[in-house]
Amino acid sequence: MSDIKKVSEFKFEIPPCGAMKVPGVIYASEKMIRHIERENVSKQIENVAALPGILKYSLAMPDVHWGYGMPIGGVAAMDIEKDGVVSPGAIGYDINCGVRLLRTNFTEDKIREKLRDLLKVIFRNIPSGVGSRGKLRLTQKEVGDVLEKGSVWAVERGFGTEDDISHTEEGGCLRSAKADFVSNRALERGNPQLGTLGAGNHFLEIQKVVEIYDEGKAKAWGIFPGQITVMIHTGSRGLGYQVCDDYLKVMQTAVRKYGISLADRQLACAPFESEEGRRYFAAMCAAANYAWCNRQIITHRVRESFMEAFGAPLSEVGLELVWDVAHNIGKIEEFENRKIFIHRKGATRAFPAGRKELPEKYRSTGQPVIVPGSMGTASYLLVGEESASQTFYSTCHGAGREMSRKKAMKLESGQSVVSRLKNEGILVLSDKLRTVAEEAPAAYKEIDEVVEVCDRSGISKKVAKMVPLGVIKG
Amino acid sequence: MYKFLDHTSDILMEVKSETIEGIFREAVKGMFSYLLPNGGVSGKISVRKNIKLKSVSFGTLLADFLNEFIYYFFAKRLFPVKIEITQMSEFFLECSAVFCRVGKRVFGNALEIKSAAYHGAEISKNKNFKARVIFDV
Repeated sequence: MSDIKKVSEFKFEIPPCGAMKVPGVIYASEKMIRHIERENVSKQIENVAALPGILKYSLAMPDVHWGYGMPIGGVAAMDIEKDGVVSPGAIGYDINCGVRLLRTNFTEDKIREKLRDLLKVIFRNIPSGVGSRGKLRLTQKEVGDVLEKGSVWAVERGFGTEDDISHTEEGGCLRSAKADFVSNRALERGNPQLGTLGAGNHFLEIQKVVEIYDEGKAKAWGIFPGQITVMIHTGSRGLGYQVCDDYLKVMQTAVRKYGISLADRQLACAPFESEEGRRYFAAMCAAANYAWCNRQIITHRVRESFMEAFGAPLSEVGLELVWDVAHNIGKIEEFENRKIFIHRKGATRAFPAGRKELPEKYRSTGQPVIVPGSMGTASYLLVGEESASQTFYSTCHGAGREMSRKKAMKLESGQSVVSRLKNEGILVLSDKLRTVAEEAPAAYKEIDEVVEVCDRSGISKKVAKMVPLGVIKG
Repeated sequence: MYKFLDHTSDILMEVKSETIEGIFREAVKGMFSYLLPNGGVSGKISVRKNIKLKSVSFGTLLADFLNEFIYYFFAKRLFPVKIEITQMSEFFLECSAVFCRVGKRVFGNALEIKSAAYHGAEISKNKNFKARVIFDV
């Protein structure tokens, strides 16, 4: 087992050993670090620390848990001028899996009576589950445009507003995307799924703001106590999975070509500036754009659903986009006056106030960070802080699993979870009770503790807390 | 023979067989038992596909092999009913598979697997062959 040293109340370090080029750093509480040690997540943090070109540290956010290759909750920044690598396994299969938060003009008393009807309308308008197909039928040329334009494509076709674009990380479009580098297989899997929620841990929640921690920032972002918000969690669907799969194969060969030694084949990689690295980056950007477009179209369907359920115009409903974050992504970012390539797998960018990449609205406050909890537990709205430079401006992405799906299913049936949550005032709509059981709240770490560690270690600060009223699971 | 073991974030499957070809066939069977827990496949239309794969080890070859079936299932709704491995080495595999097309209802009841991961994909031999594969779900 690795030698994990405590360096401050919420920060632990794995000193470099073996092939590690940099130390590992874990943000956690005493209780969390014990679980992390039991899971042997430190081995995966060490493997990432051995990647060529890694800068400063191999990082683990407070929601870190055992994954494949890089742990979920891992962050690794690379020096692209010195053969730093790009690794599909350090970004994950669901490229640009992410979360967005919409704010309404409503409070609970306005929606409580109609909540079930509202959920049913949303469930009908936004396909979810494995076999789901979106309402859009696109030509090959149109799919190519989606891959290169992301959210911009959706807004150009009337599925949103200019504000939606500016309130999305990277404006909902990575300009380095090249549709030509995405395989026909990926296109085949992705084409029918645009505008669908998907399955597994993806969800759509109707929430209520229950606590404000930073009144100034909440007010600036249009957030108030009792407000109804909508959270959407999904990604690039089958298209992203196939892109990752395709390029992991390419990278297996690239590793030999460039003489890279790996402790875990899932971390197969190539120098960012190599042909293989460039091609993967362009395809990954295309998949990320698909995911932003997907969340944008879902946003449009949510707005349509609210207007239908309440018989009210959008001006009355609200549903402005607060922000959209990516949490499985690789990007070129500016850090200490130079360009670096950063992998975030189950981690969120958290830019502080003053960053030129942020739209004017958020440049004075810092970037909103959206942290979804598990079904039935709270979610949080945080803000990026300058002190997050210690994590290359990254923070947690959610609660993080603590229990296997097998154990979760043994613990409680899906029907029991639905009934229990109903008694707590939370309606769950899903056509797969097995997924509900697998995703039961008990299977996840305590979100409050994860967020507390983020807040107290300074990698992001609390702004508001939301609790679920209605959940749609894929 | 296959069984599913505990894994915090994903699905870990262990497969045992007397032959290496048996490991590959059994792994596909195990994977579909997770994907379609309620079964119900009764399609009549059969489609034959020839699969040729190159990889860097038996473990990655197994992950690649499973990912071929994940692609055919999720992109084309094809469920394998017969798998005949015609050539195989540590780095190469050739097989002929017969599929039936799964109906919308059965497909809609499927669970999701994103991919079979290279991480932890390994095959060992003692008396029999044993393999482990992690699926990202």
